[in-house]
Amino acid sequence: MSASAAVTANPQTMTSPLLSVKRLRIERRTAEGLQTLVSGVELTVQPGETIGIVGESGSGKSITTRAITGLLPPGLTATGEIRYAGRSLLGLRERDWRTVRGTELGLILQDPFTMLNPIMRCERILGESLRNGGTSWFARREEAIRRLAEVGIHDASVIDRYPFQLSGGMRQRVAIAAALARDPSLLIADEPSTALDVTTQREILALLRRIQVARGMSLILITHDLRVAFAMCDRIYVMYAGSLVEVAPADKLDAEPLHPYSNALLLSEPPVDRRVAELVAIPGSVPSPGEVANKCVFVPRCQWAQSACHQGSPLLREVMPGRLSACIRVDEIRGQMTALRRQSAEAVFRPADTTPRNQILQAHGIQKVFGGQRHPVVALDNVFLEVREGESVGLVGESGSGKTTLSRVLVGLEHATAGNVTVGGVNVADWRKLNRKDLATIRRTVQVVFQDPYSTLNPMRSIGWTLAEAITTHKPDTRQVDREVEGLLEAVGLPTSYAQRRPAALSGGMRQRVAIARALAARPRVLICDEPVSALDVSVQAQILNLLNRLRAEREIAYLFITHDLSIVRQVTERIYVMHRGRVVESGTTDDVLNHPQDPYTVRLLASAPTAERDWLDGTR
Amino acid sequence: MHSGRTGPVIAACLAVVLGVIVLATFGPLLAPLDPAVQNLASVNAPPSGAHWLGTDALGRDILSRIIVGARTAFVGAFVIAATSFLFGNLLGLLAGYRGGWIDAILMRWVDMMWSIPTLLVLIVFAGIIGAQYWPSVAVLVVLTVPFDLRVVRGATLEQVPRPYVEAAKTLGVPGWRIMLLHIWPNVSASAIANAFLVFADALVVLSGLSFLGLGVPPGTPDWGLMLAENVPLLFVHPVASLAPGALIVLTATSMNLIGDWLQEQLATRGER
Ligand SMILES: Nc1ncnc2c1ncn2[C@@H]1O[C@H](COP(=O)(O)OP(=O)(O)OP(=O)(O)O)[C@@H](O)[C@H]1O
Ligand code: SF4
Ligand SMILES: [Mg+2]
Repeated sequence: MSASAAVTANPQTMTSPLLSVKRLRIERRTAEGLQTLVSGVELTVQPGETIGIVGESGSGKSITTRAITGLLPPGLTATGEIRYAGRSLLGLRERDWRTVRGTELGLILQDPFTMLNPIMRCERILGESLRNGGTSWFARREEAIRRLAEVGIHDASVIDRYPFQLSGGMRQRVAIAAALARDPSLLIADEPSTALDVTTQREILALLRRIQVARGMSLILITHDLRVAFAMCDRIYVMYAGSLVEVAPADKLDAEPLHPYSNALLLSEPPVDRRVAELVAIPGSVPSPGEVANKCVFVPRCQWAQSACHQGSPLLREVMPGRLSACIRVDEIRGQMTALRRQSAEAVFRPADTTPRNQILQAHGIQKVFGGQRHPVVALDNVFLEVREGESVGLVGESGSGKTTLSRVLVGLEHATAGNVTVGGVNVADWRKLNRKDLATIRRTVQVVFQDPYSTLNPMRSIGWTLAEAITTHKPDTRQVDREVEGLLEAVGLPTSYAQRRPAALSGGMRQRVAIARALAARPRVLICDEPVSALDVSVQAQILNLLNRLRAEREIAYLFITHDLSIVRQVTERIYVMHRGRVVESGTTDDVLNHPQDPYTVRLLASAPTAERDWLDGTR
Repeated sequence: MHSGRTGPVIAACLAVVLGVIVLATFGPLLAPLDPAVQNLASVNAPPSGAHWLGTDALGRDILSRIIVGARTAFVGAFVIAATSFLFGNLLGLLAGYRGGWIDAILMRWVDMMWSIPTLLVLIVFAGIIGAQYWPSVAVLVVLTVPFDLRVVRGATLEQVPRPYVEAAKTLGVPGWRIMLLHIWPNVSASAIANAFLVFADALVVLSGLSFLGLGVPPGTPDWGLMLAENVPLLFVHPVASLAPGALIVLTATSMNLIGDWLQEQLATRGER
């Protein structure tokens, strides 16, 4: 544990925190009146301390930090108390903010593109922010180069480039350098690594931590990934539906969460190092703060909820020294929460029988080149891959490695430059030359579940219409289409009444269930799942993964599971292919590859997967 | 729809358009007098109890001529808007969805039509086959389809890479179904709004043709023609030319505003 964490073990008794937020409430004015987005948030940050705000999408993490930095979007208002070094920040005028932002508070956002002015070279970007760069052009330039070196960019020519000429990781480094240019004493980083590749993510987080320690700066890290928070932070604030549900030192939270939500969040994170029998999913989806006003925010999804939990919204209270929880029943249910965690740790996965079966999907020497003659981009280079009946195969690699292109080639959404694909016995060299019968065979053999649940369904069509079309496309003479639609909805765990709804009335997780149901309508033998859970809330991811595992057992479907997340691939596959820059660099059984990686790239990928351990970030530049 | 409020401006526009439709349909029944009857005893009469808007240089009742004239103004523009909506949408979906040589050929046509001034083509055309109404309408359709086509093709191109379209493709849904039942509902907002703009434009161009004597035959009650016939009397008898002129502007503007409003209303459909 770092020294700062020990000092701040009990923040309540400390004298002067750098930042303190009390009773923060953020509301939005709508046609129907005021809508509460965040309420009752209390935060303290000590000098030199790193705190984490963890929560799922929409829990209010971002707007909380926006309120702190005075950058609330129009239409939103904040009330309560925000003090920075004894000075009240709420109600500050825009002119006064300029002396606070940058010099006292630095801000880094998820997407570095939105922070960097696209028409300025890096030198200007940094020059604008530098206070003591010196008066001469030369001195400022020297200073900017020095600042870039601090964030790990040692190539001085970067200073003359525009943001779009840099990779995502480099852009984020420049954004960090700009945020640090005026030496703020508190840096707020909102998902600084989410938009980046896993390998780059680790480098950026390690960089932030190194700078934070070197400068003795305070850091607020916002993340949806508990493991990242554990590795980086001294104390963690867990937010859910606009409220804080738990506050605890990182190591204590990891050892024993004191709120059912934190407990469930920990449980639903798939472990990287072993395969579990079943992931623990939280039922339902994240409510909006309005739906859970005047009761415990976790009531609709909590297995311990009682009538008392419905009476008024519980306040955060000190359960143990330095540990706050908003659960009124925490003392009674602590034992049960611990038991639940032990249970899931002990349940072992029983491997399915692995007798070799017939091959149903094969890619043979696939090459795919994009772009014209002048600037060819080789997306796939001589790729071999096969999927056999009933098995689950993983395809891992970072973004841009060619995973999605390969899956599109496999189903004919993209035409390979060279090589061929065999689907269910039909050999495809050219999709345009297939006859009707072969095409129908292919469609019945392979189906796809796409990444983005928000655009995978036609927004103008009801769920029932979409499923009915899928059914009749494959069996035009189906009699009772409605019954079949209901059957599909039941198979993916959705109420049959949802057939009438439009996609907009469904959450991301529900939409992904519909997308799976649509793919199942063809009764495929292979399902290609392209990052099916990466756009979903952590607590919902486990539901979908469990559903996929269950469907596989029930229907004997084979999966080609595409993901960048190694902990997921561990949970759902038996064999994997590792892709890097358009080539398959390694393949084998999932256990072998993840436990004893051979290729240097696989080794690097494995080291990048976040673990709760603090030494996860050691050993990077 | 997104909000129940339509605003007084849109309500007024709808009233204008509805009024014109009623006149175009029942005009001859509603006109107080026969629009063709000349009364040389009372020419260029100012508005009075007998002739609410007065009479023109041949003593014909202006109000009656305006009421009956709604038909030529409306029908031609409607035919143009509807026909080019149909073809523009079908071809636009085809070009955007299929791409390749179909797209290349259609876009060649679009670019060509785009660079030709509409009125000039019509004048040349009228010079060759003589001034006639329906042939002019047909030429206008050919000139307007590319306009719709371009809008729909652009909107279609935006939809094609979306996962819902790709999902339909991998399901094996036939291309025509994907175009008409999947993509079209998602591009219809701009297509429908565009049809209203096309209507307004066609109304003005057709009236312009009549004004130039290239549209309806002389003597027909028609707003554009009335404008032309009565312009020499502008200072003597202003109502005679101002009334049909104002109606052309009012109807065209109303159609434009309704188009914009519809687009806003339709665009938010998928979000609920
Ligand atoms: N500009 C805005 N106008 C109105 N409401 C907003 C605005 N920005 C955010 N909200 C609402 O505030 C709530 C919290 O959003 P916020 O962005 O803080 O969540 P978050 O925890 O950062 O989620 P994520 O993990 O997706 O970034 C959401 O209900 C969101 O719809
Ligand atoms: S207060 Fe009740 S509903 Fe809320 S977390 Fe605790 S037990 Fe569950
Ligand atoms: Mg956010």
